[in-house]
Amino acid sequence: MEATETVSAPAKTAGERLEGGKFLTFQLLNEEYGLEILTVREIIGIMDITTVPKTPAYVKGVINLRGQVIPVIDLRLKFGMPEGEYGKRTCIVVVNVNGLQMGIVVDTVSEVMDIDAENIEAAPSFGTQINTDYILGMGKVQGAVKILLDIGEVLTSEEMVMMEEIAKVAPIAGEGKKGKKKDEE
Amino acid sequence: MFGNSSLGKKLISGFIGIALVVLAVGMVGYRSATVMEGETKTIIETMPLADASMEMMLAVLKDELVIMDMLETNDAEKVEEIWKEHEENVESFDSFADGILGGGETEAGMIFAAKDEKLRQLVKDADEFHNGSFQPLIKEIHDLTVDEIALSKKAEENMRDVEKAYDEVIETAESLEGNIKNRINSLIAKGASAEEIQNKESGWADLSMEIKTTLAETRIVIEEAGQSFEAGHLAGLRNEYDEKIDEFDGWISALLQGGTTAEGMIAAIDVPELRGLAANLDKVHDQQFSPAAESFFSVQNELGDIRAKEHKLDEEADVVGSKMMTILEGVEQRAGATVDATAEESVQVAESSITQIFSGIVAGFVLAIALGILITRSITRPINAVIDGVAEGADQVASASAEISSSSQSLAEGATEQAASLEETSSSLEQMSSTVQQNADNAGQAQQLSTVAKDTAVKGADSVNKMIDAVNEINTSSEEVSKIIKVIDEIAFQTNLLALNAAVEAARAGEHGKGFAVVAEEVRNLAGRSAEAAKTTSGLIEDSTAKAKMGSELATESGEVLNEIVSNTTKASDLISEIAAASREQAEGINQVTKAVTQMDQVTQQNSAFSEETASASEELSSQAESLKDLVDRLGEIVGGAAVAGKGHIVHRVAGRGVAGQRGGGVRRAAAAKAHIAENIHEILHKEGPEKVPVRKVAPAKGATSKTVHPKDVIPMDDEEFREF
Repeated sequence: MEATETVSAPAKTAGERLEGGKFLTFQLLNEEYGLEILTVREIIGIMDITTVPKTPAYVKGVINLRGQVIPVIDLRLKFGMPEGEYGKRTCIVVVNVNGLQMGIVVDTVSEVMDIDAENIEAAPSFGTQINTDYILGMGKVQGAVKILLDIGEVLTSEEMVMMEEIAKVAPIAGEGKKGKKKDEE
Repeated sequence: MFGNSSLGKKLISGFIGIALVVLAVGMVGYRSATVMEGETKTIIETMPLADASMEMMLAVLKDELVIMDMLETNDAEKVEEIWKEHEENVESFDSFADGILGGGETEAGMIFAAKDEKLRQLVKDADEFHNGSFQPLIKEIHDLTVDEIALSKKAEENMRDVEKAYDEVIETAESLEGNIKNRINSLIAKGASAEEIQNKESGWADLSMEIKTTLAETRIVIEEAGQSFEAGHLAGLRNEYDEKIDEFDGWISALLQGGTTAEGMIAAIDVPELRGLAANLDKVHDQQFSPAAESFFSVQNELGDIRAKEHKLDEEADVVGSKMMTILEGVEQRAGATVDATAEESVQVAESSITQIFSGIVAGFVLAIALGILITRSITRPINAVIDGVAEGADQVASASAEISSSSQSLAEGATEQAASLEETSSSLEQMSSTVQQNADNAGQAQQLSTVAKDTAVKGADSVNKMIDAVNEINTSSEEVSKIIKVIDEIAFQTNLLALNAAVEAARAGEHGKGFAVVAEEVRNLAGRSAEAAKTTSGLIEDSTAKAKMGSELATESGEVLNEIVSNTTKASDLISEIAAASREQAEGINQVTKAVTQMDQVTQQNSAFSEETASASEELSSQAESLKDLVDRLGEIVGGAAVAGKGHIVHRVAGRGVAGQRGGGVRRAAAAKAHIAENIHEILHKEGPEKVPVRKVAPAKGATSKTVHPKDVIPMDDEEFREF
């Protein structure tokens, strides 16, 4: 319905006032988070994740998505939350970050919703010690608050480099692991 | 203790007991006196032994004095006196030793031969030692003393010889000297030269002087030897004597032959007169003086030897004497110890026997009194008890017989009442019999009904089991349905994801994707609805599963209850059949009871007749009790005087009856009793009437009338006991 606004949205950087638009909302430890719809590539159910050695704990590994190797991180671990068990509702949201496709493991996806600009508050400041750059703002929907994430700021540049390298190296590791996706379920 | 013995036995045993105590005390006294007599005898016999041993010691001590005296004396007569003394001592010693060993009269009184073997051995040893060592020693000393005295005399004689010889020799020597002096004087008067005299006569005068001196010295040596008894000293004096003799010979030879002497050159005497005198001197000296001296010396030497021996024997006597004394002391101690021990024993025996006799007397006294009391009581007590018992028994018999007669009357009445009751009982029993029969029939019907109920319950249990199977099937179906619903839910989730992806794509497409976005939203809604429906269905299925489960449990419970009903019904059926059987048995039992009642009726009528007979017998019993009471009164008088006799308290109810207390009278009385029965019945029935008296003693009812008056039942003593009185 308000496609014009959403199309112009992607170039925004953290700290600026965000325009309203469509957001994909998902759950993480009983909290609702939002992602700009245009950063989302695809939503898939949980599948086999090939572990890549010598990576940080939050990097779960890589998946083979229709022949394309995509690194996957666990957002819970990235945000320092307790690790959750992967179930039937667990989803991987494939996002496009600065041209790199990357999977994010979330508890479950909720819906695609419109949030108007007037319903979005800037990220709260907790002082200089705490970096809140990865938060685009706070979306108020029907009395609840959804934390809108700037996925480009969630990972630092070094981490991004590492992800790229994982994506490059991984195809070799990813080969021969197909056909066991549904074992967990 | 005498509870069951006869009177005679009791008395005899009491006297025997006292006699035994007296005998025991007497025996103790007799035994003690015997022992003490023996002890006293031993003391009497042993005391002189101690005295005798003392006497023996005294004899030995006297002998020791004898030895001392003997060694001191020089008188031959006194020696013999002392020796006699010694012989007396020996005699005394021997007499006491013999007295101890063999018994007999001694100067110290009568001595009994010692019985103690050790003492005898000691005395024997002492005697042996006395004979073997002590006496020979004294004998030896005696002999030596005799020898010594003889030798002493000889020595004195020799001394006199020596003195005589000496006087002669010295006289000769003085005459020689006087002649020489005369010649010198005459020569001087003739005017001979001094030198001439000096060369000859002067030397002779000197020599004659020397000879006199030497002779005097020799005499002194001999005198000294006369006082000496010691061998070494005597030998020294002998040497000195020999030297003096040599010196004398030297002087004489110088006078006769001339030569050099200690006085210088001497010329031989050339005057014949002087020469003769000198030769005479030499002769007298050699022939008289020297032999006398020699003889003296030899006797003196012998005396010395004897004295040495005496000395030695004296020492030996000390040793032997002390040994002798030791042995005799042993004898005395032994005898003294025997006396002391025996005396002590005797005192102990006396003390213990005094105690024993005293305690025996006390015990005997106490025992005699105790036995007296005991026996008297053991005799009187049972008799009094018997009297009391008999009196009481007679009393009771009298009253009991009255009671019996009245009871018999009431018994007869009771028997009639009983007969009427029995008829009523009989009719009641017939009624009961029909009721029991009805009971049995009802029980049979109940049994049939319970069987039907049991079958029905079994059918119910089968139906419930089928129901449980059906419910289980429902559960299985529910599980399958829930699986399907899970699949539907899965599909809904996937559809939701697809719809979201479509929405994302639509957003990406911007304005172009708007319509697509709407479709995607709709799809998502559908997915949500189907998920919701699946969830609802799932809840319903769960609910129905839970309910089915509950139904299954209830059905199981019902099955159990039904099974219980089946088993209980079976039990009920069994019980009812038992009731039926019991009812039949009851019916039979009642028939038997009916027969028994009929029999009882007959017996009751017989009882009525017997009770009348009993009444008459009890009357006779009463008269027997009366006569018994009289006997008991007499017995009481014999045993305890009027006091006991006063205890009699039977009321004379039946007067004029004969006394039936004689031996064997009871049997005859029993025969006579039967004749009185009819009369008695009449009396009791009409005089005393049918008053109710509580029955204490019931006499045997069936024709045992004669037994009730047997004397053994009436008199609680047998013939033997009677005879004792």
